[in-house]
Amino acid sequence: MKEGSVAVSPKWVIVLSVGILCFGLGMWIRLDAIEHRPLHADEATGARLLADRLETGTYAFDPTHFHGPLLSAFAEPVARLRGEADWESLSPRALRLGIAWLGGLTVLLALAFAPWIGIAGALAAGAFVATSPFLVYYSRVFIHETLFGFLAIGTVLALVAYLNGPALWKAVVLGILAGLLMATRETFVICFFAWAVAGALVAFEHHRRGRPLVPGPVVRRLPRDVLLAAALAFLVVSVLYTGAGSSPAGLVDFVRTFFVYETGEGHDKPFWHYAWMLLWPKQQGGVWWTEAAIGAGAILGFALSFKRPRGDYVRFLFYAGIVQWIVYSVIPYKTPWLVLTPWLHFCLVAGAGVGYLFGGGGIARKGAVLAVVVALLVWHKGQADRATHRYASDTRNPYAYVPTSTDIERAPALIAEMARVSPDVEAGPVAVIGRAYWPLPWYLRGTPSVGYWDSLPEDAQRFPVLLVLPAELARVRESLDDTHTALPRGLRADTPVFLLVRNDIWEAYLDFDDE
Amino acid sequence: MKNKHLIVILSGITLSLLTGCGEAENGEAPGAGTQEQAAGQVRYQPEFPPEQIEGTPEEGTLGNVVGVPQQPPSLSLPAGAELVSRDKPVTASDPMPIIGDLSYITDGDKRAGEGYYVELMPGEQWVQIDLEAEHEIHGIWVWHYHRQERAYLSVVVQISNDEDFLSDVTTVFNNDYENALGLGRGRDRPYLESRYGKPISVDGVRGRYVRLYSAGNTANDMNHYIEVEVHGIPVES
Repeated sequence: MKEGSVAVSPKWVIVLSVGILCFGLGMWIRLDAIEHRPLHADEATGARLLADRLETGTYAFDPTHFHGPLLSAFAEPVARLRGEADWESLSPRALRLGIAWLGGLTVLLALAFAPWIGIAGALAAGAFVATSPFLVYYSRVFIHETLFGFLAIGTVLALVAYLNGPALWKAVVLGILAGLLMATRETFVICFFAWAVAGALVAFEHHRRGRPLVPGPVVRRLPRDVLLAAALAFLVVSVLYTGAGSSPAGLVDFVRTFFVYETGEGHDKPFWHYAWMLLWPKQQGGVWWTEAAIGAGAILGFALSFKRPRGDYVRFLFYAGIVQWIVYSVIPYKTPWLVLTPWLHFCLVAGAGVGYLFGGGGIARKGAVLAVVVALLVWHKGQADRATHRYASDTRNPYAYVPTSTDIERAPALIAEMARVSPDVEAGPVAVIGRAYWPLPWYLRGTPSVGYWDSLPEDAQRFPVLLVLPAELARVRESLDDTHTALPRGLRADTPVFLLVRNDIWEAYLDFDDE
Repeated sequence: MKNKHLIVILSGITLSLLTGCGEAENGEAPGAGTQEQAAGQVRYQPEFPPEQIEGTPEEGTLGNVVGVPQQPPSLSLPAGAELVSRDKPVTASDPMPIIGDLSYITDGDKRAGEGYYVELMPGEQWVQIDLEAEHEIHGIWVWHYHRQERAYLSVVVQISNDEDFLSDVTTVFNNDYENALGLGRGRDRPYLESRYGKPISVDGVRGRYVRLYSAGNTANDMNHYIEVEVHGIPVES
């Protein structure tokens, strides 16, 4: 070796390479053809809120709907950088890009847990986060949960890092991350509650073993640092909920939202729904779907942690994940993405479990563990590929919830073709009749003269084109059966929308090629 | 026990917070109708209500849709016509379907669900039944997929004696009103799938091969078949 050169051990080269591989793989499967899936209804409403922010430069928090302000605040610079500054110009890529990057960066957060779950454990956790079909799917959807999960795991990391070596900058980071988490969605209270319960359980373990509840260096500076972190969290919450001061009522509404928030109907599911979705093996669409290996790994990690140094951090993560899982399972209202954050906790614990197995044996055991983990990752990636491409908008994909049909993407072009044969179509109205029509407004952005009615207006017989939701179809056809032709098209995978074309336009359209 | 109580309390609070979102007015209030006058013509635009932002839609809101037959339909066939497609060989534009087998299409089993349908690749695809001899065809009955009420797009049914459908082709059903397949705009009405299938009356067209096209459906881009029945009379050679 030459004088002055730095020796890098082969072990660290391998660790670094595997870490980069995990991150690269995670990013690749999150970004690949990210714009191809049709926009989900919730993505479209999120895009509408983002467009309001882009077009007006202001934000007003609504305590009854749509969660916290951070999603649109976070997406705004991404859209502006891409030159998409209004409703008409927004693209799916602009909406999803930032979320996909956060999903990928969560892999790095998992790797950063190495001091507490071990290097092999952190690499395994990073690989689980990178390839989990559930996490990959929702890293490609413009909703709050991947942002929320990233901030939640970041907050836990900052907390754990602080408890291990308190420092002012760690308290600052902790406060900011906690504030951002609170500005993402109201369910931060479930996270805080779960972390409090998990902390209490670990503290109880310490007490039983006669160990101090909190390390000595932390105790001395705790009041000051807690105050600092809380003040910073409050500052972040204040800035974001008030639209940087433009809407001061936002701060009051931040509290009021816990009492006035309104939920939608039709999403009640049994207690075991999340276990079915993520753990139970099921064959749908010719694919076996399950991530039970992560669940089993988490139980293994928890069980083995009792005899490991720093195992209390692993148990903290496990308890926090379990408490969140139980809370979300007890609540009848269920959508898949709600358990994304507890699932991230379980990925970390499962990684620790793999690390324990890998670290405790000879070369044969290491080889066997490695082979099993690689096989699982390949299987997970295969499921993730199916979930995000072929079955991205298919109800046979257990993660796709009320997905938008690809057919709706063709509706604007069809209406434009109708407009070529009749100027009445452009004059409008192109009438949407019924409720629960999102993401139609997104796809009708370029269609002139669109109107939205809950039920059929009196003068609808002269309307050139109507898009009718199934719940209204029977009533609409009573009035328009003689004047309009009904064409079933897809809105969501389980919900068609009926395109009603006035008969004179329909005949002109069918004859158009012949003229 | 304390923890349990805490969870219950938290559950109560968060029950009203979770993601579903409700609805809220968005955008400006609808403007009044406008009239433009030019060259003796009045161009009128009514007021258009704005969209309302809504929460996550419910699953499966279809209900009892008009268009799905409430009574079993029937086909009128001449005396001597019989089912001539049972267990006959089937080929397709997607020769190796990822789900199911092409033989399902003529096996006589019309049930829906996993194991009863064949799924072809997305976009424009066809299946073709070889009746193994020329027949005078009087009826074709198609079941695409009836586990969910959906419509298959650009459904075209043709009969020919030419295996490649390059000549001597008769189109007996075409609802491809967009002409997505390039076979000409069809005037037949689109329809929703149901367990009753879709009966197509045919006026004694002669041919050995029956080809059925589609281009995805209203739920996804895939093409599915559960069963196809061809009814006809063998042509004496």
